[in-house]
Amino acid sequence: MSEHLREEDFIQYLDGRLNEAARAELDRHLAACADCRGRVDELRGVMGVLGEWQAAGPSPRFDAALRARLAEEPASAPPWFAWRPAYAAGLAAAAVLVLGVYLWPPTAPDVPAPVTQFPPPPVTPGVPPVVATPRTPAGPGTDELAAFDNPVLLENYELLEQFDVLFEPVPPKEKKSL
Amino acid sequence: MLRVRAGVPKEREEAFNVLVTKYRTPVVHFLYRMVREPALAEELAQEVFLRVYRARKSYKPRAKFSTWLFRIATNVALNALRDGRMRRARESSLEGETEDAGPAMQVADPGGNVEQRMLEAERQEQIRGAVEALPEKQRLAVLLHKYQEMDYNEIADILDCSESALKSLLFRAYETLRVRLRPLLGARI
Repeated sequence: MSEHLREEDFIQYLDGRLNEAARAELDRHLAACADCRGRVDELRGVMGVLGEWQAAGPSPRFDAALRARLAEEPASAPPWFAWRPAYAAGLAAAAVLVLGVYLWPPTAPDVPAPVTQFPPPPVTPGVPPVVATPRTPAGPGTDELAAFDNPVLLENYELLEQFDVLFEPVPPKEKKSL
Repeated sequence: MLRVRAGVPKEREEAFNVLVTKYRTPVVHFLYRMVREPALAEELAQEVFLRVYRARKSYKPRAKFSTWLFRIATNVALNALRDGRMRRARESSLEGETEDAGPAMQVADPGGNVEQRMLEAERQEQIRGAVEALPEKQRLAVLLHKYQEMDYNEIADILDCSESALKSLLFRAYETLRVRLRPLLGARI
Protein backbone atom coordinates (compact mmCIF):
# COMPACT_ATOMS: atom_id res chain seq x y z
CA MET A 1 0.00 0.00 0.00
CA SER A 2 1.63 3.21 -1.12
CA GLU A 3 -1.21 5.68 -0.52
CA HIS A 4 -1.54 7.38 2.82
CA LEU A 5 -4.17 6.22 5.25
CA ARG A 6 -7.67 7.53 4.68
CA GLU A 7 -9.59 9.23 7.48
CA GLU A 8 -11.67 6.19 8.32
CA ASP A 9 -8.62 3.94 8.18
CA PHE A 10 -7.07 5.78 11.13
CA ILE A 11 -10.13 5.32 13.30
CA GLN A 12 -10.72 1.70 12.42
CA TYR A 13 -7.03 0.90 12.74
CA LEU A 14 -6.83 2.42 16.21
CA ASP A 15 -10.07 0.72 17.24
CA GLY A 16 -8.75 -2.63 16.02
CA ARG A 17 -11.82 -3.05 13.85
CA LEU A 18 -10.04 -3.96 10.62
CA ASN A 19 -9.84 -7.48 9.33
CA GLU A 20 -6.47 -9.19 9.34
CA ALA A 21 -5.66 -8.54 5.71
CA ALA A 22 -6.54 -4.85 5.85
CA ARG A 23 -4.59 -4.40 9.03
CA ALA A 24 -1.52 -6.10 7.60
CA GLU A 25 -1.67 -3.82 4.58
CA LEU A 26 -1.86 -0.70 6.77
CA ASP A 27 0.98 -2.00 8.92
CA ARG A 28 3.15 -2.29 5.82
CA HIS A 29 2.35 1.30 4.87
CA LEU A 30 2.99 2.59 8.38
CA ALA A 31 6.35 0.87 8.45
CA ALA A 32 7.36 2.83 5.38
CA CYS A 33 5.56 6.16 5.99
CA ALA A 34 6.79 8.29 8.88
CA ASP A 35 3.99 10.86 8.43
CA CYS A 36 1.18 8.37 8.85
CA ARG A 37 3.04 6.53 11.59
CA GLY A 38 3.55 9.74 13.55
CA ARG A 39 -0.08 10.64 13.17
CA VAL A 40 -1.25 7.23 14.30
CA ASP A 41 1.03 7.42 17.34
CA GLU A 42 -0.29 10.85 18.31
CA LEU A 43 -3.91 9.84 17.80
CA ARG A 44 -3.32 6.79 19.95
CA GLY A 45 -1.80 9.03 22.58
CA VAL A 46 -4.76 11.41 22.44
CA MET A 47 -7.18 8.56 22.94
CA GLY A 48 -5.16 7.51 25.96
CA VAL A 49 -5.21 11.05 27.37
CA LEU A 50 -8.97 11.28 26.86
CA GLY A 51 -9.31 8.15 28.95
CA GLU A 52 -8.01 10.09 31.94
CA TRP A 53 -11.10 12.31 32.06
CA GLN A 54 -13.15 11.06 34.93
CA ALA A 55 -16.86 11.63 35.03
CA ALA A 56 -19.04 11.95 38.07
CA GLY A 57 -21.32 8.97 38.62
CA PRO A 58 -24.76 8.86 40.16
CA SER A 59 -25.03 9.98 43.75
CA PRO A 60 -26.36 7.62 46.43
CA ARG A 61 -29.69 9.43 46.30
CA PHE A 62 -30.18 8.85 42.58
CA ASP A 63 -32.50 5.86 42.92
CA ALA A 64 -34.63 7.47 45.61
CA ALA A 65 -34.98 10.65 43.57
CA LEU A 66 -35.94 8.67 40.49
CA ARG A 67 -38.48 6.64 42.46
CA ALA A 68 -40.01 9.87 43.77
CA ARG A 69 -40.33 11.24 40.25
CA LEU A 70 -41.79 7.96 39.03
CA ALA A 71 -44.37 8.07 41.80
CA GLU A 72 -45.60 11.37 40.40
CA GLU A 73 -46.24 9.77 37.01
CA PRO A 74 -49.86 8.99 36.18
CA ALA A 75 -50.55 5.29 36.67
CA SER A 76 -51.78 4.68 33.16
CA ALA A 77 -51.68 7.78 31.09
CA PRO A 78 -53.16 6.89 27.74
CA PRO A 79 -50.85 7.51 24.83
CA TRP A 80 -51.87 10.27 22.45
CA PHE A 81 -53.06 7.83 19.83
CA ALA A 82 -55.38 6.13 22.30
CA TRP A 83 -57.60 9.13 22.85
CA ARG A 84 -57.41 10.57 19.38
CA PRO A 85 -59.97 8.25 17.74
CA ALA A 86 -62.49 8.85 20.49
CA TYR A 87 -61.96 12.56 20.27
CA ALA A 88 -62.27 12.45 16.50
CA ALA A 89 -65.45 10.40 16.80
CA GLY A 90 -66.86 12.92 19.20
CA LEU A 91 -66.09 15.77 16.86
CA ALA A 92 -67.62 13.83 13.97
CA ALA A 93 -70.78 13.30 16.00
CA ALA A 94 -70.96 16.97 16.81
CA ALA A 95 -70.48 17.84 13.15
CA VAL A 96 -73.24 15.42 12.13
CA LEU A 97 -75.51 16.93 14.72
CA VAL A 98 -74.86 20.47 13.57
CA LEU A 99 -75.31 19.55 9.91
CA GLY A 100 -78.47 17.64 10.70
CA VAL A 101 -79.98 20.57 12.47
CA TYR A 102 -79.03 22.95 9.69
CA LEU A 103 -80.52 20.73 7.00
CA TRP A 104 -83.69 19.96 8.92
CA PRO A 105 -86.79 21.62 7.40
CA PRO A 106 -87.47 24.91 9.08
CA THR A 107 -91.12 24.03 9.61
CA ALA A 108 -92.06 21.12 11.77
CA PRO A 109 -93.27 18.04 9.92
CA ASP A 110 -96.83 17.03 10.43
CA VAL A 111 -95.95 13.86 12.30
CA PRO A 112 -96.14 12.94 15.94
CA ALA A 113 -93.09 13.76 17.92
CA PRO A 114 -90.85 10.72 18.37
CA VAL A 115 -90.37 9.37 21.82
CA THR A 116 -86.81 8.98 22.90
CA GLN A 117 -86.31 6.15 25.37
CA PHE A 118 -82.68 6.89 26.11
CA PRO A 119 -82.37 9.20 29.08
CA PRO A 120 -80.90 12.54 28.27
CA PRO A 121 -77.24 13.00 29.13
CA PRO A 122 -76.57 14.70 32.41
CA VAL A 123 -76.51 18.41 32.09
CA THR A 124 -73.24 20.04 32.81
CA PRO A 125 -73.72 23.26 34.72
CA GLY A 126 -73.13 26.17 32.47
CA VAL A 127 -73.24 24.10 29.30
CA PRO A 128 -76.47 24.19 27.36
CA PRO A 129 -77.94 20.78 26.53
CA VAL A 130 -77.56 19.88 22.91
CA VAL A 131 -79.16 16.58 22.02
CA ALA A 132 -82.72 17.41 22.77
CA THR A 133 -82.60 21.12 22.36
CA PRO A 134 -85.27 22.37 20.00
CA ARG A 135 -84.39 25.12 17.64
CA THR A 136 -85.07 28.51 18.98
CA PRO A 137 -86.52 31.47 17.19
CA ALA A 138 -83.04 32.95 17.21
CA GLY A 139 -82.33 30.62 14.32
CA PRO A 140 -80.49 27.37 13.77
CA GLY A 141 -76.89 27.10 14.65
CA THR A 142 -76.96 29.04 17.88
CA ASP A 143 -77.22 26.28 20.46
CA GLU A 144 -76.03 23.57 18.13
CA LEU A 145 -72.55 24.98 18.03
CA ALA A 146 -72.39 24.29 21.73
CA ALA A 147 -72.03 20.62 20.78
CA PHE A 148 -68.36 21.26 20.29
CA ASP A 149 -68.11 22.44 23.86
CA ASN A 150 -70.26 19.72 25.35
CA PRO A 151 -67.90 17.21 26.96
CA VAL A 152 -70.77 14.94 27.99
CA LEU A 153 -71.84 14.50 24.41
CA LEU A 154 -68.33 14.05 23.13
CA GLU A 155 -67.27 11.60 25.80
CA ASN A 156 -70.40 9.50 25.53
CA TYR A 157 -70.55 9.47 21.78
CA GLU A 158 -69.81 5.77 21.41
CA LEU A 159 -72.51 4.86 23.90
CA LEU A 160 -75.03 7.30 22.56
CA GLU A 161 -74.65 6.28 18.95
CA GLN A 162 -75.75 2.73 19.82
CA PHE A 163 -79.16 4.07 20.67
CA ASP A 164 -79.40 6.31 17.67
CA VAL A 165 -80.23 9.09 20.02
CA LEU A 166 -77.95 11.40 18.14
CA PHE A 167 -79.90 10.83 15.00
CA GLU A 168 -83.39 11.20 16.41
CA PRO A 169 -85.26 14.06 14.84
CA VAL A 170 -85.36 17.08 17.03
CA PRO A 171 -88.84 17.34 18.56
CA PRO A 172 -90.69 20.18 16.92
CA LYS A 173 -91.53 23.09 19.04
CA GLU A 174 -95.21 23.51 19.68
CA LYS A 175 -96.72 26.16 17.51
CA LYS A 176 -98.15 28.98 19.39
CA SER A 177 -101.59 30.04 18.30
CA LEU A 178 -101.58 33.50 16.91
CA MET B 1 -30.95 -7.71 23.34
CA LEU B 2 -32.28 -6.33 26.55
CA ARG B 3 -35.95 -5.46 26.21
CA VAL B 4 -38.55 -3.72 28.24
CA ARG B 5 -41.04 -6.53 28.41
CA ALA B 6 -44.58 -5.63 27.60
CA GLY B 7 -45.98 -8.18 29.99
CA VAL B 8 -47.87 -7.67 33.20
CA PRO B 9 -47.15 -4.46 35.09
CA LYS B 10 -45.05 -6.17 37.76
CA GLU B 11 -42.79 -7.74 35.16
CA ARG B 12 -42.51 -4.43 33.39
CA GLU B 13 -41.55 -2.75 36.62
CA GLU B 14 -38.89 -5.35 37.35
CA ALA B 15 -37.50 -5.01 33.84
CA PHE B 16 -37.41 -1.26 34.27
CA ASN B 17 -35.48 -1.59 37.54
CA VAL B 18 -32.96 -3.84 35.80
CA LEU B 19 -32.50 -1.22 33.09
CA VAL B 20 -31.98 1.57 35.61
CA THR B 21 -29.44 -0.48 37.53
CA LYS B 22 -27.57 -1.42 34.39
CA TYR B 23 -27.54 1.96 32.68
CA ARG B 24 -27.72 4.68 35.33
CA THR B 25 -23.94 5.04 35.63
CA PRO B 26 -23.14 5.22 31.89
CA VAL B 27 -26.05 7.60 31.33
CA VAL B 28 -24.96 9.90 34.16
CA HIS B 29 -21.35 9.77 32.92
CA PHE B 30 -22.44 10.70 29.43
CA LEU B 31 -24.65 13.55 30.62
CA TYR B 32 -22.00 14.83 33.01
CA ARG B 33 -19.54 15.06 30.14
CA MET B 34 -22.14 16.90 28.11
CA VAL B 35 -23.31 19.43 30.68
CA ARG B 36 -20.46 19.39 33.24
CA GLU B 37 -22.75 20.05 36.18
CA PRO B 38 -23.11 16.95 38.38
CA ALA B 39 -26.49 17.91 39.80
CA LEU B 40 -27.88 18.77 36.39
CA ALA B 41 -26.43 15.58 34.88
CA GLU B 42 -28.21 13.57 37.53
CA GLU B 43 -31.47 15.40 37.03
CA LEU B 44 -31.24 14.87 33.27
CA ALA B 45 -30.44 11.19 33.74
CA GLN B 46 -33.63 10.85 35.75
CA GLU B 47 -35.48 12.59 32.96
CA VAL B 48 -34.05 10.05 30.52
CA PHE B 49 -35.33 7.16 32.61
CA LEU B 50 -38.69 8.84 33.04
CA ARG B 51 -39.00 9.08 29.27
CA VAL B 52 -38.11 5.42 28.98
CA TYR B 53 -40.75 4.62 31.57
CA ARG B 54 -43.37 6.68 29.78
CA ALA B 55 -42.58 5.00 26.49
CA ARG B 56 -42.47 1.49 27.96
CA LYS B 57 -45.70 0.42 26.30
CA SER B 58 -44.93 1.79 22.88
CA TYR B 59 -41.26 0.77 22.74
CA LYS B 60 -40.52 -1.44 19.76
CA PRO B 61 -37.13 -3.11 19.86
CA ARG B 62 -36.01 -2.13 16.36
CA ALA B 63 -32.52 -1.35 17.60
CA LYS B 64 -30.43 -2.21 20.64
CA PHE B 65 -31.92 -0.84 23.80
CA SER B 66 -28.73 1.10 24.53
CA THR B 67 -28.98 2.84 21.17
CA TRP B 68 -32.52 3.96 21.95
CA LEU B 69 -31.54 4.98 25.47
CA PHE B 70 -28.58 7.08 24.36
CA ARG B 71 -30.61 8.66 21.62
CA ILE B 72 -33.00 9.84 24.34
CA ALA B 73 -30.05 10.91 26.50
CA THR B 74 -28.59 12.85 23.57
CA ASN B 75 -31.87 14.67 22.96
CA VAL B 76 -32.27 15.46 26.64
CA ALA B 77 -28.71 16.79 26.84
CA LEU B 78 -29.06 18.93 23.73
CA ASN B 79 -32.35 20.33 24.98
CA ALA B 80 -30.73 21.24 28.28
CA LEU B 81 -27.83 22.92 26.52
CA ARG B 82 -30.14 24.89 24.29
CA ASP B 83 -32.68 26.00 26.84
CA GLY B 84 -29.98 27.40 29.09
CA ARG B 85 -30.39 24.95 31.94
CA MET B 86 -26.66 24.23 31.93
CA ARG B 87 -25.82 27.92 32.28
CA ARG B 88 -28.32 28.36 35.08
CA ALA B 89 -27.08 25.26 36.87
CA ARG B 90 -23.52 26.52 36.62
CA GLU B 91 -24.46 29.93 37.97
CA SER B 92 -26.42 28.32 40.74
CA SER B 93 -23.50 26.07 41.52
CA LEU B 94 -21.11 29.01 41.63
CA GLU B 95 -23.40 30.83 44.00
CA GLY B 96 -23.37 27.81 46.27
CA GLU B 97 -27.08 27.33 46.08
CA THR B 98 -26.79 23.62 45.48
CA GLU B 99 -25.00 22.90 48.73
CA ASP B 100 -28.18 21.56 50.23
CA ALA B 101 -29.01 19.42 47.23
CA GLY B 102 -27.74 16.32 48.97
CA PRO B 103 -24.63 14.22 48.80
CA ALA B 104 -22.27 14.95 45.95
CA MET B 105 -22.02 12.61 43.00
CA GLN B 106 -19.40 9.93 43.10
CA VAL B 107 -15.99 10.77 41.69
CA ALA B 108 -13.02 8.52 42.22
CA ASP B 109 -10.46 9.93 44.63
CA PRO B 110 -7.34 10.67 42.57
CA GLY B 111 -5.16 10.10 45.60
CA GLY B 112 -1.69 11.62 45.96
CA ASN B 113 -0.67 14.81 47.66
CA VAL B 114 -2.20 18.24 47.22
CA GLU B 115 0.17 19.28 44.43
CA GLN B 116 -0.44 16.10 42.48
CA ARG B 117 -4.15 16.53 42.86
CA MET B 118 -3.96 20.09 41.60
CA LEU B 119 -1.93 19.02 38.59
CA GLU B 120 -4.37 16.22 37.95
CA ALA B 121 -7.30 18.61 38.19
CA GLU B 122 -5.62 20.99 35.76
CA ARG B 123 -4.97 18.18 33.33
CA GLN B 124 -8.56 17.05 33.55
CA GLU B 125 -9.69 20.60 32.95
CA GLN B 126 -7.60 20.81 29.80
CA ILE B 127 -9.05 17.57 28.49
CA ARG B 128 -12.56 18.64 29.35
CA GLY B 129 -12.04 22.04 27.75
CA ALA B 130 -10.66 20.51 24.57
CA VAL B 131 -13.61 18.14 24.22
CA GLU B 132 -16.12 20.83 25.10
CA ALA B 133 -14.70 23.13 22.43
CA LEU B 134 -15.51 20.59 19.73
CA PRO B 135 -18.55 21.22 17.55
CA GLU B 136 -21.64 19.65 19.07
CA LYS B 137 -21.88 16.64 16.77
CA GLN B 138 -18.17 15.87 16.98
CA ARG B 139 -18.34 16.07 20.75
CA LEU B 140 -21.27 13.67 20.87
CA ALA B 141 -19.45 11.29 18.52
CA VAL B 142 -16.35 11.30 20.71
CA LEU B 143 -18.32 10.79 23.92
CA LEU B 144 -20.26 7.87 22.50
CA HIS B 145 -17.20 6.36 20.82
CA LYS B 146 -14.51 6.89 23.41
CA TYR B 147 -16.42 6.75 26.67
CA GLN B 148 -19.47 4.62 25.91
CA GLU B 149 -17.49 2.38 23.53
CA MET B 150 -20.41 2.04 21.17
CA ASP B 151 -20.21 0.47 17.75
CA TYR B 152 -20.09 2.69 14.69
CA ASN B 153 -23.56 1.67 13.58
CA GLU B 154 -25.04 2.53 16.98
CA ILE B 155 -23.43 5.95 17.09
CA ALA B 156 -24.40 6.62 13.49
CA ASP B 157 -27.97 5.70 14.38
CA ILE B 158 -28.00 8.03 17.38
CA LEU B 159 -26.47 10.90 15.43
CA ASP B 160 -28.59 10.17 12.39
CA CYS B 161 -25.74 9.88 9.91
CA SER B 162 -24.06 7.17 7.85
CA GLU B 163 -21.25 5.06 9.25
CA SER B 164 -18.90 6.54 6.71
CA ALA B 165 -19.86 10.07 7.76
CA LEU B 166 -19.41 9.08 11.38
CA LYS B 167 -15.87 7.81 10.81
CA SER B 168 -15.03 11.04 9.06
CA LEU B 169 -16.60 12.98 11.94
CA LEU B 170 -14.58 11.03 14.47
CA PHE B 171 -11.37 11.51 12.53
CA ARG B 172 -11.85 15.28 12.40
CA ALA B 173 -12.68 15.38 16.09
CA TYR B 174 -9.63 13.34 17.09
CA GLU B 175 -7.43 15.37 14.77
CA THR B 176 -8.57 18.57 16.50
CA LEU B 177 -7.99 16.98 19.89
CA ARG B 178 -4.58 15.75 18.76
CA VAL B 179 -3.51 19.33 18.14
CA ARG B 180 -5.14 20.78 21.24
CA LEU B 181 -3.93 18.11 23.60
CA ARG B 182 -0.45 17.69 22.16
CA PRO B 183 1.10 19.36 25.23
CA LEU B 184 -0.33 16.59 27.37
CA LEU B 185 1.03 13.80 25.22
CA GLY B 186 3.97 12.20 26.88
CA ALA B 187 3.70 14.58 29.83
CA ARG B 188 1.96 12.21 32.20
CA ILE B 189 2.35 13.38 35.77
